[in-house]
Amino acid sequence: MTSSVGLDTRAKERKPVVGTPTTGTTPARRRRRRPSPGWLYVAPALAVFAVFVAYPIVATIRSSFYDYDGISPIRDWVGLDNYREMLGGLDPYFWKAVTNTLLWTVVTVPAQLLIGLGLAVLLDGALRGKVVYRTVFFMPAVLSSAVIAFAWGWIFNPDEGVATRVIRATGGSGQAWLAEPGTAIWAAFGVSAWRYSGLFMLFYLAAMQMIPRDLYESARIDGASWWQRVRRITVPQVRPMTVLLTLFGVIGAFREFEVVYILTRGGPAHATDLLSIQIYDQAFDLSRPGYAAAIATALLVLTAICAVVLLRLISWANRSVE
Amino acid sequence: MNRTTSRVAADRLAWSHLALLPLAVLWLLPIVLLLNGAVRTSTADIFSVSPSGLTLENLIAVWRETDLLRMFVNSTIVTVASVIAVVVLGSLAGFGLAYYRFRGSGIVLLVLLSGIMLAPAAIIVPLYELILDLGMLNTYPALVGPYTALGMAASVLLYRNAFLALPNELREAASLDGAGSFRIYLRMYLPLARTATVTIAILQGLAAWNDYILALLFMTDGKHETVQLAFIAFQGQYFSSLPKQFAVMAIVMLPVLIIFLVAQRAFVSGLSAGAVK
Repeated sequence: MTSSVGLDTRAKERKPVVGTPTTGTTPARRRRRRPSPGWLYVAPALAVFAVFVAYPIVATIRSSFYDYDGISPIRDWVGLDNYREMLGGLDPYFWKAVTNTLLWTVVTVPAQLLIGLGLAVLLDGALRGKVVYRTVFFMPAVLSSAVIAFAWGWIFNPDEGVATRVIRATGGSGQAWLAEPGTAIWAAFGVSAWRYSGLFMLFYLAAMQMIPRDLYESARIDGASWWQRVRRITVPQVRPMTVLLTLFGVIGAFREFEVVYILTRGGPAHATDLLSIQIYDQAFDLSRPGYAAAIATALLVLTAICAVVLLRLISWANRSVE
Repeated sequence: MNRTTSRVAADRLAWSHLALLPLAVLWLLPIVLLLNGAVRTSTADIFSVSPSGLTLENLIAVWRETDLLRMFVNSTIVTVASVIAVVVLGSLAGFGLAYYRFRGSGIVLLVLLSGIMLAPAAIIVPLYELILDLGMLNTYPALVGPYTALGMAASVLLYRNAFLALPNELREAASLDGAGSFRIYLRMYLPLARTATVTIAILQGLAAWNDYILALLFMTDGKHETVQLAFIAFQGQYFSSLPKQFAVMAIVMLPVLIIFLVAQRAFVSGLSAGAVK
């Protein structure tokens, strides 16, 4: 049932060509003076990327130095005023959003890694109903934010939500999950873990396909228990995947927006505000696109820092495995 | 591997089910909840678990009373267009980077890589202004363009890696035959990178179909909305009928769910292949 995955990954393992330079560069070398025909192939993709991604990145940074309302054509150059407001404590919600974004990262990423790895460990091997389980756990990853937010909204509904009913039925008092600042973000964490853990499980299963089976056999002969085999063989063997998934997870955490926005709009009382939600609110609800651009720049910088740190980690982890 | 014959292993498997079954129920709960609410008759028994009184009435009524069909057409157009664009442009660029070695190709890769990390929210302000300035609000390209650009990085990288994994003898043999590079790309490289194409089509298809925020911003005229905006569009109309609200969302969810269940294997192997690369 996973044979296609296994074969495919093994083939990749045999030939780790990623990043190695192409051989046979004669055509390019002969025509060194003229631009390489490679550019011809790359140009259309770069053009689309330049218009809809690269230019908006530059424009974001530019806009962050202006004050304007997005309606009238007047744009006032205000220098670093937006940043002063943002960082200088004039906007307490900015720091709340930074804290929440970081909290989102440090809670959901380990949760998804742990649940994903746990599910993969349980599913790795000859388990009955493996395909059914795999399908069920992965299912949320293909659903849209609108659908997910709607369904979970009814689970967390303060009056008649499913979670509320269960708690009442077991003798507890009703809980206004999403309506209370203390619990709202944890409810959102739960939705995120539910949504993406199956994807992590899938990637872990693919990585486990590549672990040589005789490692387990000899460990078994040596009398290692199941738990010891998981801890001493599986976990270290999938470490490169753990690092890669950590990167995925962190990127995903910074991108998070839609479900939280639909569920809570960052509320109650900014308890679930994320940087991405503040950007949207400032730009489109409060008509302050310049200030929104300053927050967006902060998000860009934060993403870049995390990406650099994690890429360093990845190359370090890959080296230590080899 | 005679795992199952060993008693210890069999015990272990029983424990696995004990852990997996409750989790599976929890995982299915929101989906079942949504479908269940859609086939109930009154608001009062939205959460009813009784097997009686199920009806497809709401689903049919909602389909008749709303513009859902138009929204499905819109979603299909922008999704198909952006998948084609990402496959064509991404494979061309991946080919250029894998087949030729040229100055600046490293920078091209680095620039594209930064696109993978990018949070769309970070560029949403100028993107909106750009679409507005180009007069593209409420047109399909307003979504196809950004979707394509946001998916381009992953596409180029996956194609480049798939092409680099092809044996060198292949291109040498083709060059000896006198085939031009474009023919080598079209006849040889692209067909051989079918796994990458499946991965990219699934990733891009899901991203485009499921997008909420760009559609919310760019499609506002009551004609070009995608299915993800269905709830906002019909919330007022069905304010007093929860089962119909559920029915709208069930109709939004079902096509993706059905395609996923039917092509489950392609999803799993396609995405796993993408991950291991």
